[in-house]
Amino acid sequence: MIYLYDGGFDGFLTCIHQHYYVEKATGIYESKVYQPMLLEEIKYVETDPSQAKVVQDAMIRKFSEHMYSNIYHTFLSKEYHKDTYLLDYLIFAFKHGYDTERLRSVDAIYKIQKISRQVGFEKHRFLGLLRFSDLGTCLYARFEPDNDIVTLLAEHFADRFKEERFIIHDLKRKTAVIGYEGNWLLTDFDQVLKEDLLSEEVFFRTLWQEYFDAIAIEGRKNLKLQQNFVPLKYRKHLIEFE
Amino acid sequence: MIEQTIFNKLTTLAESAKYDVSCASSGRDQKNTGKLGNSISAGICHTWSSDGRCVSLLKTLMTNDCVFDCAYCVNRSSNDIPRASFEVEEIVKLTIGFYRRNYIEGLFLSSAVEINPNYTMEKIVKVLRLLREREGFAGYIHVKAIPGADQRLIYEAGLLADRMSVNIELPSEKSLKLLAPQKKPKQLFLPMAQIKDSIVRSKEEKRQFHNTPNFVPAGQSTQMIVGATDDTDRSILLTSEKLYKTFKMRRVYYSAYMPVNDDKLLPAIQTAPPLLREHRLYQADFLLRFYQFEAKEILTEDQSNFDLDFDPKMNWALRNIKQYPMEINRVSYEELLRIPGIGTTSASRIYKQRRLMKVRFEDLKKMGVVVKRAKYFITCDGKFYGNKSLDVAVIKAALNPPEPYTQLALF
Repeated sequence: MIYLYDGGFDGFLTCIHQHYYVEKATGIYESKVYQPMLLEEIKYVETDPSQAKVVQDAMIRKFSEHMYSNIYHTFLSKEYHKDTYLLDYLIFAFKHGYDTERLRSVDAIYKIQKISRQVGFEKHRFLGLLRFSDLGTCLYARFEPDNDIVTLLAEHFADRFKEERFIIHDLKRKTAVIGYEGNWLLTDFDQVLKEDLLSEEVFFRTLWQEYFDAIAIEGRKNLKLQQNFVPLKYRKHLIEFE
Repeated sequence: MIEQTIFNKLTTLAESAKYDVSCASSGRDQKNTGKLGNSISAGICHTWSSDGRCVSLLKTLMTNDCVFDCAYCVNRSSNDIPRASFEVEEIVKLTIGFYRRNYIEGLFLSSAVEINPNYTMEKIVKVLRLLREREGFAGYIHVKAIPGADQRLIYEAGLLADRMSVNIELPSEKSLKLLAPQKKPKQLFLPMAQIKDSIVRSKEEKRQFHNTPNFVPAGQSTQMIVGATDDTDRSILLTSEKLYKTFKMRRVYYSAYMPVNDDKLLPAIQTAPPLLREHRLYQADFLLRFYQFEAKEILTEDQSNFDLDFDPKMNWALRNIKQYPMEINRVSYEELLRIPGIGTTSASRIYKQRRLMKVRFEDLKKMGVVVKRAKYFITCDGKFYGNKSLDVAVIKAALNPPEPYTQLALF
């Protein structure tokens, strides 16, 4: 039986609950992106927060913090089969508890550790590569990450900019994190903010571009190395590469 | 008009600061204790310049107007280059402006010695004070301790900064005398020792009194130039080891010498920087810090320079081939680290799993092991997967062609 859900973490956890208490699942997919296959039986699972909570409590009780964060990172991944991989992982993990983390060569575990590392890596990359513009009313940054990492960035910037208002806008998913005085919330967001830049903003941008060129050592020029670190897909929103 | 001068100053002073290698923003996990800023212990890189080096901090000099005349330095007093000095407020404005836009992770403030060491250090302390106290800046600050400055000033800076450094630049007294006759080794070691002692004391006191102020919480670092003198790799590495032990350095950086000055004591101006040698030094440095190697094992008296074809760990393994093959499922963690193709991450993965379940040869790739290098040095469950024998010549030939030259791109 293939379970489909609404795409939220609670929805996914409800599917896990159903797997244990109603009928075994062979796969779990977000209904929006699911591509039907022949001979597959599907069932749409309505999100039930109380069932989700049962599963979540069990995870917190039985898993290490690190395992939990691996699971959540994988959940945010763009990988099409991620929920099915997570199902396999959870079946194993509920049996073996803390030991799960150690058994990297088990296929179900290896997949999760690998995917969550990719997501974590992309998050870390954007901690540095995000560029904010001061629009006068708030700091605004937009980006197009592969994985759905905007909430992972929120905590870091809410603390860093605790006296600022800021928006981090994921153009791909049309969502944004809005931060205000150390707090943040996730919201749907599909506005195009106008690009009338304040003169101070232009001043700092130009300074940054000048600085960026001045800091490179000509005799060590290595564009290939630079591209390993800043792949072209990220450069669209980096003012120093304009 | 004012803006134009900031432009010029920034490009001039960044130009002068760029030969300082360190730009790490690592070593400290700190929530926002002020108004603006925090740091994470892994550090964050914000962009990479066209030489492939990461840009994490706003790296600049207070001034490049120097009273010293060190032969290797672009800012030597006898050089005819544009000179500029920042005003204290200008640096504060730049740092905050860049930081709010997430261009940088903090400030790396260094300086040429203007007028005298105390004058320069005082100006540096003033910048830090304004940033921390008036602006509530809680981001990363790396600051140079100017050798010869008053101990009180260095202490004051250390209370405000996350990391401090004093550059030793040359690995031996002899080279220092030759190229930087105005600097005395003793004068360089003095602030290093002071910083180390203050860090140790602050940590000790912190155990008893929670409110003890932090002193240079992200530790101190230093850098050495490679290739400006005839010092061997061995003497450089032994010096590093001493620095790590004596001064509890967090990092020693190496900088392939880029000929910037025409001087008969130095390599000619067209000489290419020894990038591969620099890369080998970094590899050896990691062996010292994370792989429990000693400098005298990495380079022996007979072999005092690095083999450019094979990395230092592979070299050690080939010299000590009698210790192999090692059984993946039995040898200690320290021994796992001695196997070429196994790093700290893969070693700890193997170590964790094998207590519950055997690690098979097919699993090694999943563990992150570079099997093509490791296979000559290991057995998995008793079976050897390399060629027929543990013969150094055979292994060397099999590993040929040696890593392509582009590998040195890593740094």
